[in-house]
Amino acid sequence: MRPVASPATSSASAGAARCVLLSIGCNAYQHVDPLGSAEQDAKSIFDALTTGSASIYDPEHSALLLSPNRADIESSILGILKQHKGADVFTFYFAGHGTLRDGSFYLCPCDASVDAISVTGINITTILRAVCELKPRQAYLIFDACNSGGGALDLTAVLRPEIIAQSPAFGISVMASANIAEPAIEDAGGGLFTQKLLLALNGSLLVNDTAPFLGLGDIVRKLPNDGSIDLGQQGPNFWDLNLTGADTFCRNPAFTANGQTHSTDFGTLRFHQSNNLIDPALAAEIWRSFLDLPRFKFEDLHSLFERLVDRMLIDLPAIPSSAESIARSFAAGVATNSDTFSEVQVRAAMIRALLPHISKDDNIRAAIGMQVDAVVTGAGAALKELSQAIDAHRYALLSRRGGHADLYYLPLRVAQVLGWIGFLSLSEQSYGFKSNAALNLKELTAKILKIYGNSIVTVGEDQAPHFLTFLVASKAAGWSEQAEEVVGRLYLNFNENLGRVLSNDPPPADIFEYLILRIAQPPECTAPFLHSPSELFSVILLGAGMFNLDEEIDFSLIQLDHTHFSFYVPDSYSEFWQEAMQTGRNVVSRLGHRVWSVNDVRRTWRDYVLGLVQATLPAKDREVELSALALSLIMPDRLPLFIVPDIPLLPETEITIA
Amino acid sequence: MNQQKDSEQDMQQPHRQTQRLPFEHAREIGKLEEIIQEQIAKRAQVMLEDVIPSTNIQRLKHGRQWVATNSYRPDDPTETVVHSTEMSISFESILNHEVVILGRLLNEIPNEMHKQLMASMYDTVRETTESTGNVVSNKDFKAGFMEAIKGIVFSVDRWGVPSAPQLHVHPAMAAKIEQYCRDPDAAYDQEIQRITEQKKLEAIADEARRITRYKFR
Repeated sequence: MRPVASPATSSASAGAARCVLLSIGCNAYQHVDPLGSAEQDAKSIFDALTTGSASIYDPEHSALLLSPNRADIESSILGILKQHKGADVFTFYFAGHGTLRDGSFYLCPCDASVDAISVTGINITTILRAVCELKPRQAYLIFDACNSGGGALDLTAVLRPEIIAQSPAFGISVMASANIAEPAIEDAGGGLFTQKLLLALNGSLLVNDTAPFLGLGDIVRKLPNDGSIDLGQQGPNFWDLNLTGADTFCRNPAFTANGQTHSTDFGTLRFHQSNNLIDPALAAEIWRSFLDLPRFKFEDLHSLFERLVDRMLIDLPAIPSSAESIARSFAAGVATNSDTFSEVQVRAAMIRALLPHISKDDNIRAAIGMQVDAVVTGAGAALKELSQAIDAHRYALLSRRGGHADLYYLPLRVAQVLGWIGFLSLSEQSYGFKSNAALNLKELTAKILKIYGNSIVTVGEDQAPHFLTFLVASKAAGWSEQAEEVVGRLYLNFNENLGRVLSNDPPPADIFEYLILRIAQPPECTAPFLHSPSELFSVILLGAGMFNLDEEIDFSLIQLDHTHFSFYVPDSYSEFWQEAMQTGRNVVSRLGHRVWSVNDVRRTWRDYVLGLVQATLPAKDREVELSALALSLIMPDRLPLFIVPDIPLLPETEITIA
Repeated sequence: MNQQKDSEQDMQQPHRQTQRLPFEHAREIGKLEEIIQEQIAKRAQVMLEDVIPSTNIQRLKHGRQWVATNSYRPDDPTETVVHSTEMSISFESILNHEVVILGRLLNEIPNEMHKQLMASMYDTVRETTESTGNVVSNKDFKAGFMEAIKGIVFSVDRWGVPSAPQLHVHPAMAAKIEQYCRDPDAAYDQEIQRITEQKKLEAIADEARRITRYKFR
């Protein structure tokens, strides 16, 4: 073993260093096969982070351990604990053998014995507990070892909210070079994973050139597909939560920012100011929410983000990075959730928390803009994944539990997919987003209609904003054939089911009763779960108006005589974050009472609704509109009527009778 | 109780089990499926109570054998019988929004369970009667029924009120009974009535004897 520096024995500096690195590489194993390049990996990482272009770590107080035994590692950790409590950043890097035993991950020092790993290995919980005790503002743990993804199994056992709450601004990122069942490969140049990491640290791999510092999350997102070193089947794992508002794993070698040099003095970073905003109770709640992310609820997450944003307001310039940091952490936490739109929901929850404050400062507008960008990216990725899944198997949109519940949820899901197709299409056509080359929205729409066309049925009000967004986007994109098919199917089904649809957010018991009702079809029914006036019917009628389907609709409208439909217009679309909006107007109409045809619907729209919408949004407001549009798709009891294009009245003579 | 099975398509596509899904609604779907299961169980329960009074239904959580110490064979344990049924639904039915498949599920599963239960009950009755010799082999309906009613011991409910036995018959026998009811024999009915009343009195007397085994102050 060749210890290069030991914080335990160093007396170069009194007090805590701001950034401390412990870099370990094990080649010379005594009881298992030796490795060839782990020491070199550890040295390269040490050099890059202490003296290279990415350096922020104090070389005097950092340590490089080459083929240490277990006692050496424990001694180094002890030294760091004694000297550097409360450091700004602590990074632990390990290259060597790793193994999973009884659901726990162990790093192998050079004296490790596989048949007695529990007493000769370094359990990951040891490192995690030391991190909790050290209380750095930000901790980064990097493992280039086989099975290192197994480290995630120990995380939740150690990082309990009540422990972490003692350090309110604590953030931790864990990066593992391989999944739980995968080996980590090395060649003559070093561990494949570490080689890629070093490319980012020396600037050969561009992560971004806009931020002075990089987070581990920034880097890991670039690793798999950068086109340099092929990791093969080895999939890096990443787990991250950052409450500090700034992610500072290393200096960004690509950042130039008008020639400014960047300081390693973290006192200049805003996160120091932000840190004090998060009290222990809130920090505990954040961690609790984070650890429970596989089961998160949009409402709960919004409530949490709402309180965080309230605290961020006292440092307005920091809001874009603080909000992004929190949202990105939570988005990464749900990245492996079985619902592909989880990340979009996380971003939407942050938008909802920011939107009430949009008029206060341009920084909030910028923060919302960043979240909207992420929603567009996330929705694009989720739809691309869906498109591939449908290509692979026809029933990809059915839920895994399948069965009869999909009689309600599949039609809802189809509406949601079409809604987000519409959202992405509008983001390109109306709001200048670059189109996603890997995702053909029109082609995906055609696939959905071909396979799931019979599930385009009217089951509930929650479908309304999705179909509206899809129809408006179709109008803008010229997808008339698809839109007409959707309107036609919806109208026929609405009519066949006597205009009966479920209210918003129905409890499962109501869904069951509703499905039974659709089987029985009694002529009279006043069940409380049915919704009237229906905004879904308004959307169908508006769609008929937009695509001139008068002839197809007018002659059977009498079958829906007396059916109510409505349009809600708020005083301001920046109120769309609210659970229930108190301002605004509901315009309610009734078939057979001044409305007998699609053209009458157009007239109603122009006479009673259009003016209200235009008064609400006198000028184009990109952030408000995109936020309101995204929120209406997540909180579907509101319609983004501002997206509806002009629907000119048809001269009565142009409505032909077949 | 019941297992639903998707059609063969599911087995052809094991990758669906690991597939990610947009708008999964997993929590809500789980609850809705629970409600559907509860409805099936409720309907099966109603059908069961049509033939077995709820006071005679017992629930045993553990074990697969049971003996009743008050039975005539207290040392001869009975194995519990598992009833199960399954119903296939095709993915296409879901895709086509054939909502009637829900109605079919709610009817067919309880019906099938009920059918199995009844078959099992008749098997038990047959085995018991054959082993005890309580079998009436007279092919003439009237004579056979008379012989049966004479051989039956009436019981009382928990309040001591005698109850007449239930009659479960083959459809062919039901037709014979209907035929008899259209042209009843008054003397025969009178004799049946007399025996029934006599049996009730015997049941009350038996109950009184049973009750006196308790200690009273």
